[in-house]
Amino acid sequence: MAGKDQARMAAAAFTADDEDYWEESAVSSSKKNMFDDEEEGFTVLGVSENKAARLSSALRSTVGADALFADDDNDDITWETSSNISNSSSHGSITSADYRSARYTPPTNRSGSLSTSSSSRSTAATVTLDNSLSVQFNKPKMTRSEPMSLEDAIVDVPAKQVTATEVSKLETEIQFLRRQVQLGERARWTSLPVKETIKRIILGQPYSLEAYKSLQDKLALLDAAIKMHDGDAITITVLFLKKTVRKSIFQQELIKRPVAINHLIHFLWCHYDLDELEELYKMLRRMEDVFVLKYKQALAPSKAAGRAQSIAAVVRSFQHDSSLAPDSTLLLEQCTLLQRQLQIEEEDKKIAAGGKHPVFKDHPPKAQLPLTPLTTTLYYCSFYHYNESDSSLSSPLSIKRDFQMSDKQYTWSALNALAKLHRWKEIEALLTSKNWFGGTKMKACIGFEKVVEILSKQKAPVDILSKYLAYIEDPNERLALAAKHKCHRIVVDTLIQLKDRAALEDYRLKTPDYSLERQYLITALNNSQVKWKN
Amino acid sequence: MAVSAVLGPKLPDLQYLKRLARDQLVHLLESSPGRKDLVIDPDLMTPLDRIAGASLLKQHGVDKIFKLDRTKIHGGCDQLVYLVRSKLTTTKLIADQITADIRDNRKRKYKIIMTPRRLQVCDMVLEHEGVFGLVSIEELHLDLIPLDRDLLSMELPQFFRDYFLHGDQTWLASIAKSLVNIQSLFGPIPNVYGQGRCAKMVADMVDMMMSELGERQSPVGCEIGHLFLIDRDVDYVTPLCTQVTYEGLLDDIFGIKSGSVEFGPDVTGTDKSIKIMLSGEDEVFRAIRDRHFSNVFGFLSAKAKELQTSYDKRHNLKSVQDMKQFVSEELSNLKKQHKALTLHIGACETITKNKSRGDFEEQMRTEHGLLEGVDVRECINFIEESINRQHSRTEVLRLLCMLSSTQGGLPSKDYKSLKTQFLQSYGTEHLLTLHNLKKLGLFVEQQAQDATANKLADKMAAKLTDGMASLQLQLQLPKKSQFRAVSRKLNLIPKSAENFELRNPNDMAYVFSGAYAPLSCKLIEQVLQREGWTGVEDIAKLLPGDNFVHLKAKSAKGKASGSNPDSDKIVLVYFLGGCSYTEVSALRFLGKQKGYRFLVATTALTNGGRLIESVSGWK
Repeated sequence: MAGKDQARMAAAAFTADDEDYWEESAVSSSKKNMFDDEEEGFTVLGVSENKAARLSSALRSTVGADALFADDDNDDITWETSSNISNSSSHGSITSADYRSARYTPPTNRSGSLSTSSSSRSTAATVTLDNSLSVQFNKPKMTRSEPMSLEDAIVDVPAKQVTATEVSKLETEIQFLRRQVQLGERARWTSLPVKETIKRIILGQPYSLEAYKSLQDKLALLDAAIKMHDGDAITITVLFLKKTVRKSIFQQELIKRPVAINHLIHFLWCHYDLDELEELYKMLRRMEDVFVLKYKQALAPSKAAGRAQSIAAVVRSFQHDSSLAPDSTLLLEQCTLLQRQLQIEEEDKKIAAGGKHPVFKDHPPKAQLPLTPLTTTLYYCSFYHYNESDSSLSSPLSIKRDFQMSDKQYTWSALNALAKLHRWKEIEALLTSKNWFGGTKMKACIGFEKVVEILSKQKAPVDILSKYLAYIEDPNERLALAAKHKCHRIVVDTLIQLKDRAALEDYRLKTPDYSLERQYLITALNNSQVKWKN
Repeated sequence: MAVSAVLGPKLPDLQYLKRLARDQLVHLLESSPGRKDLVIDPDLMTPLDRIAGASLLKQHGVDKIFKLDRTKIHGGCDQLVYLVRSKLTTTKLIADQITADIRDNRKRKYKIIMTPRRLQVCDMVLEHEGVFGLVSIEELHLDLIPLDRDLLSMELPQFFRDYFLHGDQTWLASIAKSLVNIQSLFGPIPNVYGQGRCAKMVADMVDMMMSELGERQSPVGCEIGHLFLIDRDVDYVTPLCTQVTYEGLLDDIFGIKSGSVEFGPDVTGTDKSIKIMLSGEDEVFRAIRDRHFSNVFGFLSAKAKELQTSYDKRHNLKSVQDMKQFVSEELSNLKKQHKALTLHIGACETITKNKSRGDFEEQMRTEHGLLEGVDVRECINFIEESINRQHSRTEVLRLLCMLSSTQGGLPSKDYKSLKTQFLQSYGTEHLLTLHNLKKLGLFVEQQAQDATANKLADKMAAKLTDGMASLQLQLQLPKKSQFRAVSRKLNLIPKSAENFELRNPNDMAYVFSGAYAPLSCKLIEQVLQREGWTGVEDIAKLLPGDNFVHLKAKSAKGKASGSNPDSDKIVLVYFLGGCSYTEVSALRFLGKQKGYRFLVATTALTNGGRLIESVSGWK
């Protein structure tokens, strides 16, 4: 209460000059509100509370939301103030800062209620108050001037009419508060209960950790932060512990508190204290995390050669850790790939410069090879170096072999590259497999429907498409694809296979007039050997 | 708002939240008099658009507006105001800029406005960098931003990564505070349900903050009857699915940012892009947003015809009076609808084009197979093929995570083979991403998981303290995904997917073409129906984290005079870690079915792509 009154007095001083300026703002609409408040200024809380409630509902229907919230807030400050004072005097450990916040800051945890646009007045209020405070209390450092918002100012306005008795009342209040602050001053160096301090951190009120000197206090503080779940408080308290006790004690205590570990790790990440982070992971024996951290650092060089080197160093330092062997192998492969890419690129530059290689001449490489993924490299080599002997570094087959890639991976890359170059003959060779007795058979591990899809995207001629369409086993799928790509002969053949004469009749019009396909279809229709199902 | 009345219980007016945030921002700007340059955190750009436009900022003393990045700020004013998310990295960046100013002998006043909350660690960084004394620090309590009449978002996508991946609880207080704010505006929420570790912590913090405020009767009375807090890791599968509702598709294909979407030239049919606000205020959009996509185009063409008839009325206008009325009243409305209609039809075309290309059908078949647990081998083959063909990395990761989450991890052989091929196709660097997904339990190996569990038990027994810390990582993994079992118990997969009614759906599963009903929403339905967890314990047991419930007896005293009689039907669902538009649609459907009105709050709107991207370890 006292705080509110004082704020009111201080505000009264400059209400006058600001009044005009703010006329247009929410002040005028809130006048009713102020008067009511004035009446109730010194009544029992419950009463003003009820009135406020009544008023707010009335206002809600008449003046609108701004006034409603302003009112809501007045009401709130009253509560905040009184509860804070009674609270702190009960355990007798108030700091001066404590008072300041109890008095002048709007309840920080009710942000939603901060409102309205008049602000320069309330700022002025803050300034004046700050001055008077520093004279009186000497102590509070105004490093954080809490925002004062309009509702504070609204409370303040009616103080113009403060009577003499009220002034004397206020003076007594001031005396009382001065004594309290001196008390608080002394209490400054004894610690608040840990829970209170954590609450202050969470609610954004001033706090101090320096009074927690004993290890027990420090740990209790950390545990309170963990118990109250606030990440900011946990980080602050764990860093406080780290700063103020010996490393071995810190580690010993930290290890028991997984939540604290998480926060410390995240802090170190964000703060780029990566060496310290590594040390922490090692202390916790989280080798996989050390591995990932080192790998991430090793990726920093943007040039392939440098990156290959730094990754190799990571692989070396983890070669004895069997649990990380699978991932180490992956890294080793990455190194090999990077080196190989560099070698291929160097060779290819010479070839391209020579100007004789047909593919390099027609399709000069658009992007750099190094640092691309393995699959891309395989495609690149299939594109530029398809027919090289597999002893060459750039031969796609040697890449498949050295990196143990599957037939499917190889087929996708090779097929895509060859189709792009319209090298149909080589595609046929790629999809032909020899059996034990020297015979040949068409085989596509990715499925012939996918082969057709890739070829059609590269605008392969109908006869090429038809060749592979014929190998699609499922007749319905074959029929659909053949119709889509206008491979009429395949459609006809498939419909014969399906004995679907009606569909064949229907298809007749889809074939071009007087074409061979039309004739082929008509011959089929006349074929008496087929046992049509319809 | 007249329309919402038709839909049953009236929702509280969320626009208050917006007004409060805007007013506070204005206040913060005005509190340092004079002209100032404003530097805005890129993360805040779009969310801030919902609160205050550039013109409002300019009205209140802002001269130039900059985006916070590594470049130097050359503003004309001697005051610089930073408006940023409270993050360590951002704070460091600001400190660097101030230090650079000092080096250049440039004198300015600095103010840092942190949102949603001032962090002590940020203070510490400023202190550490030696600039603490040069800046004043303020808070802007911008937490839940109303994106629509029933949708609130913190627009804090990094919460997912910070909390679920790193276990950092810094944002929890802000989430709790957003709930305190809601309750101070719309009255205390009597019934609270929750599932998950984070949900529990948030509920604890809300209790603490409310008790700090003191027991007070809210002048507003109680407008929201129930609160449901749910952690994202309770249900990863739903946001990973490809969305097929209209709004979900808009988000997947165009990307909805803070409730607005930008349509490119292919949609607008002109050479310009148009940015529009998506909200229930747009009549056309309101009618189609929650529909299954197959049911949208028909509506739009019927609407177009209707509009034509309305336009045609102009030929039958008899008097000048009629004409005047038509032009002044109907025409502008018609024009507005016309414009909206054109855009939505354009968007539909783009979506259809997008989805008819390539292997969309095969992809849907794969997803449905995974959800149902049938033909899993074929699904794996499809994913493998996508990897070999180097299809979109995010899409592939999404499918991999879906595979792992629905199957409860992958058999060792499949895991190793898919992992190796993935790295070969997209680069070994993505080992970092896979590591993150493993930590989240989104892409894991079956055997390894069981093995660690055993190892964990052994170590715990032998050396309790040591074991705990070193195995913290594994402890954080959600319980082995029991998706199949939960799915059976909650009836997530409709029995007859064949002739599922998508036009007039009577089952929530319509949001995924009748193949699957969102786990999260079905869980909410069950708990609300039972007013607690009794009867669903066996399901809750299979989900990560604990559940809780606080019910307040419905005494006469609890009902304040201003209380909304419908409050018992108003349910606030708060997704911690993000929710998808499909989930919002599913809840709207549930509301219509059961007579509830749902308010959805979330830390951010998410979808499969964003979820995966947010935990990526390598770009």
